[in-house]
Amino acid sequence: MEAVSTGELVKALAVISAGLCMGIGTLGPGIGEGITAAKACEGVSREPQNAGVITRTMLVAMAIIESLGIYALVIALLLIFVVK
Amino acid sequence: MATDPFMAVSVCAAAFAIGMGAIGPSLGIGRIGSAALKSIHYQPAISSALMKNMLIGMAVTESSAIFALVTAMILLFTPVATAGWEKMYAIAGAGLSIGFGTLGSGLGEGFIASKAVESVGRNPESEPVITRFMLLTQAITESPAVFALVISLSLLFVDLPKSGFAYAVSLLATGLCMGIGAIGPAIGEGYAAGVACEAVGKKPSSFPVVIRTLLLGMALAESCGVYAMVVALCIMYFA
Amino acid sequence: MQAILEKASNLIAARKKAFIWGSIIALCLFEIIVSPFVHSSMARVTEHVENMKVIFGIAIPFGGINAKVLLNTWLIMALMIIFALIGRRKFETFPGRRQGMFELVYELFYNLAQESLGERMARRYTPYLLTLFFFILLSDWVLSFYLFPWVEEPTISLNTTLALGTIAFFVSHITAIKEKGFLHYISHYFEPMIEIGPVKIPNILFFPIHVIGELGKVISHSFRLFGNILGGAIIYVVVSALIHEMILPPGLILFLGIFIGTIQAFVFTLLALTYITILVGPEEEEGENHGH
Repeated sequence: MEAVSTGELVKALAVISAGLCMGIGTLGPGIGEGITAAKACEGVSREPQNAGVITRTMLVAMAIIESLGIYALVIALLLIFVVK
Repeated sequence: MATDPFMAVSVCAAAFAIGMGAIGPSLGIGRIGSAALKSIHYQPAISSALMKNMLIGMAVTESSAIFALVTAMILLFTPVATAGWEKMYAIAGAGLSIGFGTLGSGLGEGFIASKAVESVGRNPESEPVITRFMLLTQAITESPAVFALVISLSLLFVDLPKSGFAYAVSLLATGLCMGIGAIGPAIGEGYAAGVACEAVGKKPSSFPVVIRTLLLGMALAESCGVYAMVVALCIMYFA
Repeated sequence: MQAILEKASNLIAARKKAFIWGSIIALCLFEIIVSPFVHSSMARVTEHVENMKVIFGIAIPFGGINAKVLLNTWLIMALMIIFALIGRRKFETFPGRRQGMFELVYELFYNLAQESLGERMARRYTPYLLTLFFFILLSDWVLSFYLFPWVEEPTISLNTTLALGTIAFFVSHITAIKEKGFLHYISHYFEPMIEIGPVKIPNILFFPIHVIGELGKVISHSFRLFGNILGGAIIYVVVSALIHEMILPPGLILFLGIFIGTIQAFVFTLLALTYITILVGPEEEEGENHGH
């Protein structure tokens, strides 16, 4: 194979880091949202009449946890599309 | 044949795919087995119902490993026709994707089924509800592994639109992204569904409410896996 | 008198058991003996892989017709139609054996649907669920006839499973629109809403999340079935070729085709029902809860 130019090397590294970023970035939010949903379901099962309040609280928590995943997504997309 | 680099990469990727890909489901299935043994020890009279749930749970958890095995077989036995050297990176990416991708699903589904078997052991009357619940939630928890399989197969079979070193590395990045990105959501969904299974086992009448909340939570946890797949496809087609 | 009745029922039960086990063992023996002489080679793996290349490479639409899949789809449709015609030959108030069996099968899915959807909608959607279930079930069971060269499951092709998944997607969304009204259906995409006092503002940030989630649902729904069935077929072909079709193939067919096929058919149908349930929303279910 011929020698690799610097521009291509930069792009290659950017793409690899985008992949790693998104990949490792879903570990935390995935597990966190799972634990949240687990406890919410337990609470709902114990007292079904509070299902509305519990679900709303869970959704608020999910929204905040999701934002971390979205940060990873944004950085990954920036790395793919903006690095030339 | 001896100096064929494509075959070399295919063999390594196949080994990684099935070697790494069998870890998650095996851990999950072992967990199911131990939960079943414990429950049968406490309640030998309903051992047939417990074994039925155990076998069904194990069969569904195994399907993630079947995905990995199938990808490995395709990698081993399909001759790569005329393809540029970028295909080697694509093959490696496919192996990475499915190798890592089944880890989370296997663990998650195993957790669900183990909790299901324990719940049936604790409360045998909840058995029909629990079996359906277990199947449904296991199917949803399998989705990240399915996404990893999709990315693997597309990496293997799609004609590459570009060429060059950067693109070749981006194919590798695709596999890495989807593979590692499938671990977290699946573990999270599995944990949520397992705990919900226990709760439904204690009180089967709360099944409709719990399943609604659970599916909502699982759908949100799933979205992280979908982000990983979206980024993987973006890397493959747009970088 | 009780003792005689008990003895008679035990004898009937024992005979039924012997019949079922005997037929399974006979079938296995037959396949074990015949398999090594039937031509089944690695060509099948490459054939499936070529199919996938066409799908993933997105070749010409309508450029090629997958004849085997089409033929087998028609075969299964014919089987199901014959089955249904036998079922509706005559409706009696006190069902005999034939009608009892069909009612058993109908109630299997009617009860599932009724718990989630409520009685009115359950009646409307049980035929759809039954058709879905039996199509996938029969198409997996048809693998037991693998000794005939032109028999293959239709779900082995991504086209079939994607079609089934798309149908389920459209059924669930159109049902939701019909039941809840278009505005209420769209508001679900903007949840959770931002609440400022009494006013609820739709949260635009969550719209792409929900849309991507829905698309992800369709993909995972179809690919799960596809992966399991195609995977099973490839494993079977490769392992059989490796051991030269000695002894093991019928066991593989039983496990991969029939056991996993049944589970996957049930899971697919259950998921289709669940998608309808979550989209239609909690109002139906609360009505049923009071009814419990």
